[in-house]
Amino acid sequence: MYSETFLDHFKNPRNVGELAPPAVTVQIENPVCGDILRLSARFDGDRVAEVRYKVRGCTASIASGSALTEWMKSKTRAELAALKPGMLEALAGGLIPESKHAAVLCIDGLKKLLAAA
Amino acid sequence: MIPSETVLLFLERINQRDPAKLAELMTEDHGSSTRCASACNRESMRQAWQAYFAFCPDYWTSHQEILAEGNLVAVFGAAGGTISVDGKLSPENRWEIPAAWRAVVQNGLVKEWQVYADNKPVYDILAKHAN
Repeated sequence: MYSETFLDHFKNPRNVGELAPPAVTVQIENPVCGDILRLSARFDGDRVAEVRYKVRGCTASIASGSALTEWMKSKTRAELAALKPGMLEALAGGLIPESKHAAVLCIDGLKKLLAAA
Repeated sequence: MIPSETVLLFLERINQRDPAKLAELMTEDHGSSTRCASACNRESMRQAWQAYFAFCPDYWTSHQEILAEGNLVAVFGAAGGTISVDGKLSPENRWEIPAAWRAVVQNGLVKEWQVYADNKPVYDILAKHAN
């Protein structure tokens, strides 16, 4: 049902936590199921220096948040803005059709972070 | 139709699990203005409901109390369903939890919708299948 990469992100999530200001932190919620994602990032110039996340959500949200934050490190704002749900699904080792909302939640969180940073 | 009637009709359509009929009751900019990113709108939320009904094909809601103040409506009740695993609905994947909803109604349509629920029983079912 789940790939090894997905299970690794779910069981050993990377970058869990929250960064203190001046890092930017945003929170986003899925209005349908109630999953909540908090995403924090500190930029050094144009690039992500540190990133953390917390999620109250399903296995797919935990794995997707982990994959997202792992990928975000050292990326520029332009690179962050170009990330799409399908790309994140691949980074997380693939999501079953019923769990694709998790990648959408993460991308929405990233958009909100970029708008706030 | 007063706001609470709109919200009750919205809940009824959730229980019908028909995303298109549900979208008919949404404003074009439907979402959750303070919580969604800019991507939220009627079409993206129709797709979100469609995905959720695939995830939990027998999702249901029930309401015990409904409070309204102007265009703001709060509903208290319960939600439940069965998580689809490999296309099957098994009794061990059934869940039921207390739930509350906040809605903002505009001109007879739902502009904002947000569920508040402790989804841990749902997460536990999903985690069971990942272990």
